Amino acid sequence: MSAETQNAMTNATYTKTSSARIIWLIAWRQIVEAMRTRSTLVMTGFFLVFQTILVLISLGPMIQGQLSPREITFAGTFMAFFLLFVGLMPSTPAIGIASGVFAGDKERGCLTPLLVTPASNTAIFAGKVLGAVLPALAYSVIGILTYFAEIALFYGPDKLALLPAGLSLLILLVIPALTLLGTSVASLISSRVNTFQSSQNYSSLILMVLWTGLFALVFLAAAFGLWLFAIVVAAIFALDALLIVAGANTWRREEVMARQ
Amino acid sequence: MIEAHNLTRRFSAFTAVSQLSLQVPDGSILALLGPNGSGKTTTIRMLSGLLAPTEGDATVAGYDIRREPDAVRTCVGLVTDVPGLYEQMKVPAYLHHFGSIYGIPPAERARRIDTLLELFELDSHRDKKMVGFSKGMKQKVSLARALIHEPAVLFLDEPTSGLDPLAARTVRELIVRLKRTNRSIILCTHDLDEAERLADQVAIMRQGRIVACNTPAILRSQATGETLVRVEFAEASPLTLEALQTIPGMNSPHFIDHPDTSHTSSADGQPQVLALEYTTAQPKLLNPEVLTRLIMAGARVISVVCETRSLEDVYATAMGMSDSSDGSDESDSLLAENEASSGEVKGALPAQKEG
Repeated sequence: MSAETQNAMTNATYTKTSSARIIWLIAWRQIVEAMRTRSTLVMTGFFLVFQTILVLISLGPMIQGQLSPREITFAGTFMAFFLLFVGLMPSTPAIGIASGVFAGDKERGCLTPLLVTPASNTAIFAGKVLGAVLPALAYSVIGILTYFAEIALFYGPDKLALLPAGLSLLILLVIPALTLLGTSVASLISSRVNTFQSSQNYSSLILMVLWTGLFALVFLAAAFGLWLFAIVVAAIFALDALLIVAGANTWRREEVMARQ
Repeated sequence: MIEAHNLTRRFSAFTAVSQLSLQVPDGSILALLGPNGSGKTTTIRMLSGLLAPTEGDATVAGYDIRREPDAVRTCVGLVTDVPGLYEQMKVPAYLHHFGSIYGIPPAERARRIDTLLELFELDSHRDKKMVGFSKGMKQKVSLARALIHEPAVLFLDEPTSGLDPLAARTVRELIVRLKRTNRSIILCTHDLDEAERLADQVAIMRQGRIVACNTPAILRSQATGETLVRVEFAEASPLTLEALQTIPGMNSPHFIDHPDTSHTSSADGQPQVLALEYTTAQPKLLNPEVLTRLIMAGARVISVVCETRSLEDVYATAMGMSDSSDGSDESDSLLAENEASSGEVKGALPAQKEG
């Protein structure tokens, strides 16, 4: 992975940075920039407050007091789908950020200095996508942990046991799968359009269609059994991998330059 | 060293750069002049390994831009008119980030950053976020970023665009200092004065082609082939215009009023002729002859001023003929003159004419 390179003028010899390190350097910069975006922090804060209010208003009456077996099943299913909601909602602003990883940086002039470095096309693409995905996943984790903490704090830790194990586990898996899908699609679109505005427009359109399909699938899976849900989760992960690999293999810095 | 031969770049049916050839030796600056859309930025992008040419070849610091674009990028620094910084960062952290991508070891990186901060007088701002920097300071950071890996070749795409005069002067001084470190530099600019002051060669681009390429002095002289000469007297010329017109090689001689108004009128209030102006293609031969005749006739010569055309005139000539309907525009003759004289100037290789 590493190779020696020699600067033509200075005769300075140094080790070529490995692709993995370059990917991480680009991703880390992207993450820091995303975390510094005030609007994203405000939106994430809003979702957390909104989620807390929902937990107090809608979940409270449902899970407090003595519950019949039928009420336990209903409350558990409701809590599981609420888990899906709190896992996905905080990552929405991060998907907005993903729309700007290429197009936004290009508009601000930040992309050209990166493109003129010896970093490979794959390293730049992977770094940018990773930098978009990780904050989204972090926001999801924050949303989920806050949700669990709120149930434990407001109604007692024992109420967490109401969550159906199998369904909850699949929901915990589908959240990163969907977050990855959303950020990957947004990053891919961002890498292939000229402006941040276009990127956001296309991303929101495509994500709207994807998420409508997702909720339909989730309810369908719930009706037909967890095995179908598991297949859907696996299919989304496969789609994520396909999108990222295809994006990394087809993205060329030259196309970005040619479109300017 | 930068060498390009017949570089062409097409975007679908549009030809952004056509049959471009140039050569920039180490330690010299080539200024690319031309209006927006003339192909300057596309040329730089091809030469910096960001855009593959459709046709033609080029080597940058010894690397082929087609076969070794990654190697080319290790040897070039690029500065654009937009600094493109991560403005929430502090300068050292920003330079460390790019230094890491270039694979510079941490200790060496820190040393270079210190040197660059000192060179660009940014040392006192090292603990501040760049968001509060002026455009000039941001452009300095951009230059520092382009130099962090000590590239042999620099591409500067309108680096002083949007800067106030003082900031622009600072950047220009830095460019001259960079040239002295034996770097090959290509400078894209709209500023003719900047090109004239900084560049060893000037290439004027129009519609993707180089229509003139030479040193600023030769370009100016080639534009007309004539020098304007003004001889100023303390008193009226003792020789008449008719007597002067007999001197071979002197074109359009005429007397003018003295530019200083205190000398413009004689005792009777009429304007007093105190300067002679003429044009000549051979000032070195003609001027001594004219001065000898004038002095022999008793003229009291104060000064002799020779002016060649400004680069602005040359640029206007190259650009202004684009609407010529007969197809044989003046810029082509300028190009032809450059082709004829290309052997005189080291490193100046004008573009080939199409078709």
